Amino acid sequence: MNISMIKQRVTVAIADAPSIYFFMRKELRDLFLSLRAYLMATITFIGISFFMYIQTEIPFGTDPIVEMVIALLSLLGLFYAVAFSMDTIVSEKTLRTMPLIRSAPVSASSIVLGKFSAIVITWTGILSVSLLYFILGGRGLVGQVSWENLILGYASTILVVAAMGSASIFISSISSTVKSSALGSLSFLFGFMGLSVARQLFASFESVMDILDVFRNLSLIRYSSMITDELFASGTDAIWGVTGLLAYIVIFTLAAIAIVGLREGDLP
Amino acid sequence: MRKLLVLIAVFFMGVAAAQIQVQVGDPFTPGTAFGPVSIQITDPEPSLGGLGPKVDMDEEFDLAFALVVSNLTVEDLKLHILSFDEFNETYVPLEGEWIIESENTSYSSLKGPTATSGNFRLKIPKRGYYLLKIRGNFTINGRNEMVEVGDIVWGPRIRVIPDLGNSSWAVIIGMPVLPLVIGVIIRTFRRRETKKRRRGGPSPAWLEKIKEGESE
Repeated sequence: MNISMIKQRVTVAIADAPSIYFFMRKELRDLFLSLRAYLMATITFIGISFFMYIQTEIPFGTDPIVEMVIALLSLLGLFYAVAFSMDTIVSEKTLRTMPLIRSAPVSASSIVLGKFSAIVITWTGILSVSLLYFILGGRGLVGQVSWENLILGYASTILVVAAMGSASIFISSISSTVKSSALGSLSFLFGFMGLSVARQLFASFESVMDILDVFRNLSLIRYSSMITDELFASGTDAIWGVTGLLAYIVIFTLAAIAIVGLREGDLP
Repeated sequence: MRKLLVLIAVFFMGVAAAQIQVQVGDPFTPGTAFGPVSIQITDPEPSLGGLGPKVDMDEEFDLAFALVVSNLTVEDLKLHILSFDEFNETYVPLEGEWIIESENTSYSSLKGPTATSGNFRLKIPKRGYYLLKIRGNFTINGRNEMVEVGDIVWGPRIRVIPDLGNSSWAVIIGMPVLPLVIGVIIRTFRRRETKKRRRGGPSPAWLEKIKEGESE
């Protein structure tokens, strides 16, 4: 790849920015004009309220409250990413709107990146509103908040959502129905979640454990816990966690763009 | 033969029954230490598990104890409070500043047999779950001795939690409701606009703006 080719790619990418913004705005409008985003925010806040209320019975201290909220948000973020991404591309195919979209001068990357950024922005919006817990909660609820850990923890959940979202968008792009996309995304998620159970079940089988360890090293849930471990416990692998999640985002987003782009040839 | 077997069985059952001793009362009371110097925590009452009493931040409360010295003379008796440190999994001395008053916690010489009582008045400014222990250091005939009462199972345990004010309750209840209310309002507003448009009324300004933007 020579310099002129790189220049050409960069120019195309810059020219693509308005299309990305257009798709992102369209997705955000769909999310915020329907009840979906608000329902997700409600579910998230019910979880946070519940956990915060529990700790008024058993005081874990100040930092554990932040840790508890981050752990909850990481888990909810995974489900949010699946729920909001699994039908992104496939619904355009099933509703037969994809040929219409592709008839306009827009690239595959603008479709995928627009939808992806809308999902990440919505989650960031929910997190931003949830900061009110820590601002208005008062000492009775949250005490002295360690803002640095809270913001870093929130950033880690955004990364988790972006990683899971990109994987779900990829699964959506290779699926032909919303059902198969949902099944694929949930299997992907529960597969990683089930790893710890499988590791306990097969703890005494070395060969099985070796195979499970390979999958565990690729698990985005593990990358997420690497970051939170360094923030709240005594881990030192946060940089590997961030690298792993970024790799997920890049690989799956590029793969989804490639798939959506490939389908272009199939269009009439 | 059968009678003989029955007799043997009855004999062994009798022997087994004789091994069972019936004890009246519980020999072990949680929160009690025994020895030449024995301490019993009297307030908060030792619990069998449970969460322990709830105390507001900066609220004063007592950790009271009864002290019994057996038939000997104890010198340099000093009682301290220890708190369980979860990170290091060990008991560490409670912050000195949190003990605002203490009564009968230090004796240069105490001649037994005697029984006395005392207390520590505490004021903890930091929220948390405090598993406490009282340790007594003393010397008997020039020999250093130690006695402890309380552990992570039997307490005493204190929950230092600030009272939830009205604003905290408003946040707990209001936050989950807030997005739902906003969502319903937007949805209602949008439906009304759609109905208006279907009836042939003028399009809302925001829709016109989007249409203009898209046509550009």
